[in-house]
Order: sequence, then C-alpha cells, then structure tokens
Amino acid sequence: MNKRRITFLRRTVQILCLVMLVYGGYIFKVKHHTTQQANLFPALKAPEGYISTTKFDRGSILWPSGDNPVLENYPPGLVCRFNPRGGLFKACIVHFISENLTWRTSFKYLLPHLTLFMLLCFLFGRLWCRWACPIGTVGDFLTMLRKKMNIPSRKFPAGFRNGLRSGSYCILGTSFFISALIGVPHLARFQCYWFLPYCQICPARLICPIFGLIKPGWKDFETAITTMFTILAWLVLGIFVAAFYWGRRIWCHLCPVGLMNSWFNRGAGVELKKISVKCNKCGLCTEACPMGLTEMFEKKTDGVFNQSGCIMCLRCVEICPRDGCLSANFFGRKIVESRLKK
Amino acid sequence: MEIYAGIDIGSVTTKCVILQGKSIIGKALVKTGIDTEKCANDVLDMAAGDAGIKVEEIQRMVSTGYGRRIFRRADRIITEISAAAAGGYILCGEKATLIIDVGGQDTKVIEVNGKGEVLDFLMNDKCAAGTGRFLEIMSHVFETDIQGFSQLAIGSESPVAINSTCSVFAESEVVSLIASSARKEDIAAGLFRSIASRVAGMVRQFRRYELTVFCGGGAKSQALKGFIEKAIERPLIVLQEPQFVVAYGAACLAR
Amino acid sequence: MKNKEYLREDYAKTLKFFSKGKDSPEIPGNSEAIEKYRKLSGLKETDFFYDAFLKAKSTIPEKEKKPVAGYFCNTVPEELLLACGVHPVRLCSADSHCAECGEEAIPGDICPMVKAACGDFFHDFNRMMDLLIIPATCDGRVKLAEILSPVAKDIYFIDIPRNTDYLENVNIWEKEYTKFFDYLKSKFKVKPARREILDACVQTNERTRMYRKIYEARAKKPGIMNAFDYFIMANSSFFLSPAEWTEKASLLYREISGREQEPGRKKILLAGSPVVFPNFKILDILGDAGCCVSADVVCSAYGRLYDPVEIDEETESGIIRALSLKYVAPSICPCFVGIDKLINTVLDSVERYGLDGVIYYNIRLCQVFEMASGVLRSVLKDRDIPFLFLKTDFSKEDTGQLKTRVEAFMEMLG
Repeated sequence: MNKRRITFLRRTVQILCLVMLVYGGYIFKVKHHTTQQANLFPALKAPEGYISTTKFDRGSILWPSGDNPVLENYPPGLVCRFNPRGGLFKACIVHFISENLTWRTSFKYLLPHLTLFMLLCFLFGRLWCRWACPIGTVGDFLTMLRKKMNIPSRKFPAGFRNGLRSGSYCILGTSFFISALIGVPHLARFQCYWFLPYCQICPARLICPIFGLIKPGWKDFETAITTMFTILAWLVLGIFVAAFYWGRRIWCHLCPVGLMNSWFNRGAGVELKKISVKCNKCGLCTEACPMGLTEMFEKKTDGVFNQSGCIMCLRCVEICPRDGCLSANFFGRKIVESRLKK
Repeated sequence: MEIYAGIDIGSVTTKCVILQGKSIIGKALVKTGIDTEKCANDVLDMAAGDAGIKVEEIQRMVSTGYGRRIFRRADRIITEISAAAAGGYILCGEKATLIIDVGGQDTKVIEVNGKGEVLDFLMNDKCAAGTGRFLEIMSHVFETDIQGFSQLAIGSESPVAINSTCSVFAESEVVSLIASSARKEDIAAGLFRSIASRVAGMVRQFRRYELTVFCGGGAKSQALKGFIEKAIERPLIVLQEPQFVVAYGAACLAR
Repeated sequence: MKNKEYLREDYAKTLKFFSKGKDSPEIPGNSEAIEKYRKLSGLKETDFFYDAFLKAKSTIPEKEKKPVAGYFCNTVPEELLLACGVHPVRLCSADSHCAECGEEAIPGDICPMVKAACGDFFHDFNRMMDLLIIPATCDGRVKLAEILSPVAKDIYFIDIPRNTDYLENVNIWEKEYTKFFDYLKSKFKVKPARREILDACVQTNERTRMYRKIYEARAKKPGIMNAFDYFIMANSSFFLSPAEWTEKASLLYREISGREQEPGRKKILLAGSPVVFPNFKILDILGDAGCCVSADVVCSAYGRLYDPVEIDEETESGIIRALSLKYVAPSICPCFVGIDKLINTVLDSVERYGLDGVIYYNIRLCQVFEMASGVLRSVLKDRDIPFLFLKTDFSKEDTGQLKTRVEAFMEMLG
C-alpha cells in the first residue's frame, strides 16, 4: 500500500550484505595477507613460526586442520566460522574474541580488527543486526512468510525481553570463560572438544554452511561432548526459527553478537530522535518495532533515544505518521524524519 | 489640550468621562433605560455640561460596555475588558497586575502586564450569578438599596452558609432563611460571601495577584470587598468612584 | 448483541412510543443555513459539499444501494464497515431542533449533542439504518445506546476502556474490534478478504492525505478558505463515501491553493467540543469578530481526518491493531485518559503554524471538556499563549456576551 522507502532500502542492503558476506570471498577473491598489506600494516603480519592452529584434524569445518597461521583470516575475511572462504570482513565478534582467547594471541595482533569493530560500532551502533547480519536476513524471511500466511505475531512483555538479555549475558560470559580456560596450556587437551563453545550452538552453525555450499556439521555425534553440542545446536536452531517466525526479532535479544554491539548503542553516530510535542501517542512506533521496545513511545521529553536493544532498523521513523516527530540523525545531521506517507 | 470622552454603556448604568490630557474634567452617570442610544447621548451632554465644554469640542469618543455598538457617534469601539484594564491600570499608578470588575451583568477578572495590556481574562457564565445584578435583586428582597444592604452585611458576626449564587434560587433560599428566623445581617453577609467566593475562585485561576484593583459598581460595597479580601487573602485596592473606571479607561484609549 | 439485550422487552415497548417518526426528512432551518453559508463562500468547489448537505438524509440509501450503518464518535473503525460493503454514516448531530425532539426521551439538563443525536434518530432516515453502532465514549452515548435500542433496527455497542495508553490496552482494543468485525461479517453475511480491508484503508488514507493538504494550506495561508466552508467540507465526510469525498476535496484543494492569503489576519486555533453543522454559532461569532480559525483540533474535523491507518503487518490481526491505533490511541477526546495528547497537539499546532491564540469551545454540560480546559489553560499560560474559554450551547441568547469576550480576546492579541 504505502510506499515504504526505508524498508525497500533496508531489504536491498540486507540481500546485498547476504550475498557479499557469504560469497564475497569467492567474487572478489580476496587474498588475505599479501606481502603488500603486511608491509603497509606490520600488525597484520603473522609472527614467525608462532601462532598456528593445532592439529585437530577431525574432518569438520569447525576445526581447521594443518599448520595455517591463525591470523591469516584477519582482517578482512571470514564472516562466520562456518563459511570459511566467504566473507569480506571479519564480522562475528564473538567468534573472534573466543578464538583468540583460546589461542592466546597477543593483543597487538588483534588491534586492527578490534579498532575496526569499535569504529563500526561507534558509527552505527547495532545497525549491523537489521541491515547486514546474514542469519537475521534469513530470520526476516521467516517473518515475511508468517505475514503472508496471515498469522498474527506474538508480543512479548518487557520482563521476558529483559530475561533474554540476561540470558545473553550468561551465554557470552560462559562462552568467553570456557574459551579462556582451555587456552591454559595445561588444559589444552580440552581444546579439541570445547573450542568455540558458542559457535558450536549458534544457529549459524547449521545455516551458514548451506549458503557457503558446504556440508554443515549437522550430525556430529562422535563423542559425548560433540553430541551434546550438536543437540544443543539443533535446539537453538529450533528456538531461532520459532522466535523469528512468531516473535519477529525476539531472537536478537538473546544473540551475544548483538549484545556486544548494543553496548555502543548509546552514543553511536546513528541517533534516533523524538520531539515529543509532535507525538500523539498512537503507539505505532512500538507496534512496528521488531524488537518490541517501548521507550520511544513512553518518553515524554525531547531527545535522542537509542535504546540498548534498538537495532536501528528505522521502522519507527518510517511508520510514524506525524510530520517531524521521529527522526534519524547521523552525528546530529538529519537523514530522515517521519511524515505522512505519500 | 485635546479633549477625549469615554462612554461606558453598561447594562445597569451608563457612564461618561471626559478627559483633558490625563485629568478628568467632567463625568456623568445615568441609569440605562430602554432607549440606550438616547441614554448615551444624554450622559454625554451631562458630562460635557459638567466639564463646561461643548460636545463638539471633544476630539475623539470611544464607546464601550454592553451597548457599545448602539452609540453610533463613537470614533472607536472597544470592549469593556480592554477599557477596564486600561482604566484600572492607569488609575492605580500603573502597578496593577490584576483587575476585578464587578459590574451589573458581568464579573470580570483581568490580568494585565507591565504596559497595561490585557494578558488574560475570565468572565462569569452567561447568567447573572455572582454579579452586581444579583446584589441588586437581593437588596430588593431586604427592602433596601445596595449600600444599605452592604452596611447590613458588615454588621454580621456569623454569616449563614448560602450555596447558591443564582438569583432565582438564592432568593428562595433567603426567603426560607428569613422564615427560619435567621438574623438579617447574617443572611446578607452570607449572600456577599457566596459572591465573594465565586469571584475569588476566578481570581485564584491567576497565579499573580500581587496588586489587585477592585472596580465596577460592586466595588462600592465595603462588605463585598471585605469578603473577597478574606477569600483571596490579599488586600484589594478600591479606586475612587469605581464605576467610572471603565469609562475612564475608554477615554484614555481614545488618545 | 441484539437490541433486546439492552432493555427488557416490556420497557422497550414503552419506548417504542418515540419511534412514531417524523414525516419529513428535512430538518427545519437547515436549508436556509446552508444558503447563508454558501453565499459567504467565495469558492466554486464548495458547492458540492453544500449540496451534499442539503440532500444528505434523503439520498444516501438510494445512491449507495448497499446497507447503511450509522455510528457515533470517532472510535468506530469505518474501514471495517467499508470492507463489509456497508456504507458508514456518522450520526453526530448538533441541531437545536433535533435537540428539542430529543427532549421527548431525554430530560432537559443533558448534553445537547446527546439530545440532538437522540432527536435526530426519531427521523425516518436514521431509523432506516440497518445498524447503529455506539462506542463507549462518553456517558451520554452509553445511555443513548439503551434509549435507542427499541427504536433502532439493530444496535451494536463497542466497549472501549477509558485508558488510551497503547501499552495498557492495545490487546483489549484488538479484541473488541475483532468481535465487532465478526459481528459485521455474520450480520451482513460477507467474508471480506484481507485485500478488501486494505483497499478500504487505502481509501481512508487517501482522504486523510487530501484533508491534511487542505488543513496545512489553510493553516499556512489564513483566509484562503473560510471556517464555514472548511467545517462543511469536513462534516460532509460524515456521510460521503471516502472516495467521493477525496475526489471533490482535491478539486477544492486545487482551487484554494491558487488563492492568496489575506494579510494581517489573526490566526486562531479552535479546540474543544465538536463543531457540527448546523451549530456554527461559534464560527459565526468568531467570524464577526474578525478572527480567522486557521487550525482546529476538534473531533469533527481534525480528530476525524488527520490521522491515517498505518499498517505494520498486513495480517488481519495487524490491520485491526493498526485501526485501533488510528481511532482509539491518538484520540484527544477528554472522555479518555490522556490529556497530554490534547496539550501536545495544541502546542505543536501553535508552534508549527505560528498561531496567535487558542480558543477553547465548550458545549455546555459537557463536563469532561470543561475540566480539560483548566489544564490546557494553565499549560498555555505558562508558555504565554493567549487562551480563551467559551462555554455555550445551541441557543442564541448569549451571543452578545460571547461576542464581547471574543472581541476582547482579539483586542488582547493586538
């Protein structure tokens, strides 16, 4: 019915990102770590003889085999552990940190990537989740499917969403703790099963390989621990599908990657602003919010309201029918503001 | 010196003030009759006679009040609200913040700014409740005039509670009170208090009433002044000859 | 749902007395008023709206050739009626003659709008309505549902909670509207597809867009269209189909956008009780005093037409929720909790269009409107926006006093 420019733009960007993140490596044939790059940025150079993947030759994509230098994949490259050859930049921060906690990589080698991550977060906050995240795009497709089938979406109370956020902290903490623990030389023998604990249950474990035309490790029942992780992965995938199908972006409250991005939301370059005198309290911003956030509706003062759960989809700005009530700014400069749809 | 006239054609009386410069040189008051325009002409003649000038010498005339449109000789027509604001403000030495005008048909509370301009005003509802007309009707019940009625009320020690300010209902309430042998003074005071509380209710809607001027025919009643002061807990300034304040303001606005 | 449920049958019989009906669908005085305002209008395209008013009551059923449903207030979703192939007519009336008729059933000291609505219903046209829908807005309407239940063919009552906070009550609205939709489906034996509701939404949204254009043109250029024309135009949307209204209003918009504004007019925002033809008393008074009503936030114009349906999810439940967010959540009717919406709207309009003052019009005996005025008054006073409160009814006796007030207000604005 109404022209929805932001939605159109966002869908385009999402599909573009999905293609580039998954097949970018194939399309542009990024050769990581050329001598030239290494000369330009000495930090990119892999140290002589030191850090290299241990030989967990278990025939699975989770465990890269051989003596490849670890840093070969940074940056840019590897959207997801499970899509090893694709990707234009190292997107998944949880994977990046977990892995390097285990490898005990020296901080200075990680600096370029961390700087890039921080810079992107500082500019865009959690924008990644709704505009680029490949599994989010898959989830949005599920939501679209539900809408086509005329099934109403589920609304979740604020308490539930906060609970998910706490759950997300637990997952992140546990994951980093285990990663750090197995990095201790004495416990190195556990690496072969407990390596990248979150990645092993992440829904991307089963989704991303499909896009990368790689067989997913979907029936890894070799040992008790891998069996546990495989079952968990399937369970989480089930939750993921259900969450996107019925609850729109309710999954994103649980996602630890999104959580780390969200720390930078307040004070990010992208700002969502409300002029509350123009608000007529119709509640459309909350109704349309895929994360089910209410702050934009509740606030009765003027100002920038970047909520920590906000994924910057700008849906609220787009749907608000009051001229100039909500607006999206980039470092104080107005990009788009709400108005009556033509 | 230029000469101006302000004519206030009210519902009960018609007033005229003639100004030379800033000083009043003549004024007159008549009861408003059926023929309002004749009344206005008469009062103008009387005021001119009082000033010792001819009507033709008046440069500008401003009419105001209920019948302001009927007086066709006026050079300018303004509402009694602006006129009362100007009059009250200038007469009290340009310090007033709030002006209460209890007239025959209307009760107005006007807020003015530092320049004598109207900031906001409130008026009573369309019926005569809480206006001079109400007092007049009540004084008839007591077989006296407003001044006598006011004096009667001052003599009271414990005013009775009268809730109604509607002239019709209050009258029946008064009659039943008389029948129950309440003191006349107390009943009169009760009536004044009921009006005062109504006026005070309007005054309270304005937050700044530091210097409040009380004018209009109702201001001649000491009892009403006393009760309003008690209700708003502030002293009121009553101008000399309060009925002429609106006409004076109109004359001032003629300049 | 059946009308009998509202009133016991033997009581209903007593009330049937009123249903004898008035012979002529014409209401005395209306055509004179129409001609009076038509003469004042300097626009060609307004003729259609004036004509529509003259013929409104007699021609709708023949012209539309579909069931007609009448409703009160702004909280009944027109789109659902349109989707079911029903022609919606808003029955809010402000006719003094009808108010007198209404006194047969309702005692004197009741809101004249309610009495007029009741009296209007005793006329033949309204009794022929296939369905009467009454939402639970003010107390008067609630009782009206009972009083009219023996007279109307069928009656439906929409219960809306008093709190219009989205977070609190959106599920209740959705439930109520869904129940209403199901009722319509079963009553008119239709099964509208989602597409049809969406089409109805498109129609009303087109109307909203056109209305907003006119609203903004008037607010920015005072004097291009007088208040009578504007309210006649807005009020005619009560009974015209959205598509027809939009078409004619776009012609009108083209005409007024070519006009030049009248310089030096004071711009006034009119707030408060609904201004419904033929009760244009307040507009007469304001017009005589020379002030220009360039914007309004009353429920018979702004409140009805300003907000669109914005559908987030095009599922049936999503559409119904979106409808409740158009009709209930932003409602500035003081019957509901949420006076900040009214204050925001007033402040925003004043700021956006550079208006000189606010006149709050209150129909006597509507307590909620009067209570809201006090809050609005102090808020506006804080911001140094001139505010005038006018309380009146349909009668003409207090015109003189009101004029004095309005004139004094105009003098105050300078």
